[in-house]
Amino acid sequence: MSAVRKLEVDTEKCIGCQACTNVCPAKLISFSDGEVERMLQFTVTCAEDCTKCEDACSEKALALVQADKTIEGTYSIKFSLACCADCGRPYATKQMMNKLHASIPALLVPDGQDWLNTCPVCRQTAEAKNIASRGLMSRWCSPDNSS
Amino acid sequence: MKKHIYTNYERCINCQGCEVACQRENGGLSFINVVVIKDRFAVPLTCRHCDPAPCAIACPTQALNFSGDSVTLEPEKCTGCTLCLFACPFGMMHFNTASKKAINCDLCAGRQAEGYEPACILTCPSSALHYEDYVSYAVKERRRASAAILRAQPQKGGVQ
Repeated sequence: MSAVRKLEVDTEKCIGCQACTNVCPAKLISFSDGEVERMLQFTVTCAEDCTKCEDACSEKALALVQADKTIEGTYSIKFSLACCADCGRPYATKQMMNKLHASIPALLVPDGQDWLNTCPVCRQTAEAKNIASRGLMSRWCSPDNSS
Repeated sequence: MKKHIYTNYERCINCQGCEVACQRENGGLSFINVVVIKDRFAVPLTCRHCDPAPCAIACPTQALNFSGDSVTLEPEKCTGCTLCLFACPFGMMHFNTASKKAINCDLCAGRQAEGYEPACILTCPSSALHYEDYVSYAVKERRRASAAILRAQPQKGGVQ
């Protein structure tokens, strides 16, 4: 029996999280982030004796199917990226953020899940601003002549 | 009672010693980040070890867990899907580009096993960072605040 297998990706299920690209020992799956899109590039067939990508897929979107012969080449899937509500930079795929919106209970955050709409860097800045405005008003109010 | 990193923000002088100490402990990656707001306030931010932790809820492989008193990561289970990075409300999950796995503050578990405090706490020259349980830190902070009030009203308080 041939050990060559085909990588079949369910584009409906795949969230473009890059887990498969991280675990592939032969680096046959890769990803690249553009301005508005993330592109995941899959090899058509794989001859390695390994199921790491299939196991790593949290969405069960990737399947290794027996193939007759090796087919050279790659194919790619594109994902549109979610942009930060504060700085406008893309940070994760929309599918990933949809999954997070669904999985994180709104109970955790009293004022909703607004933080999910911003990038990690802006979340840090927002938290720092929050702390600064809470406790250190006295310094804000002092005239701006400190050198 | 569980110990945590508490910060007296008014004492932070933005020397970034905690960042360097953390980098030294963790092979060049810092899990504490001093954010400066309007060139006036330095706010050291680090993992809050939330309970319940959004990063642990988001983790599809249960590599992140809230166990004992902190969020712990089992690197062998992590696939590097980065969902935890975008689940963290404070943006304090990190991605190790070398190992292609998530990584975060473990409160210097290795140092603590040897009986030392976390590196950032030990390094902080202005005593802005404290590693204590909530009750004893709260008592300390209340003492400090009341001493400040007494100092401001010497005639009434009979300050030391």
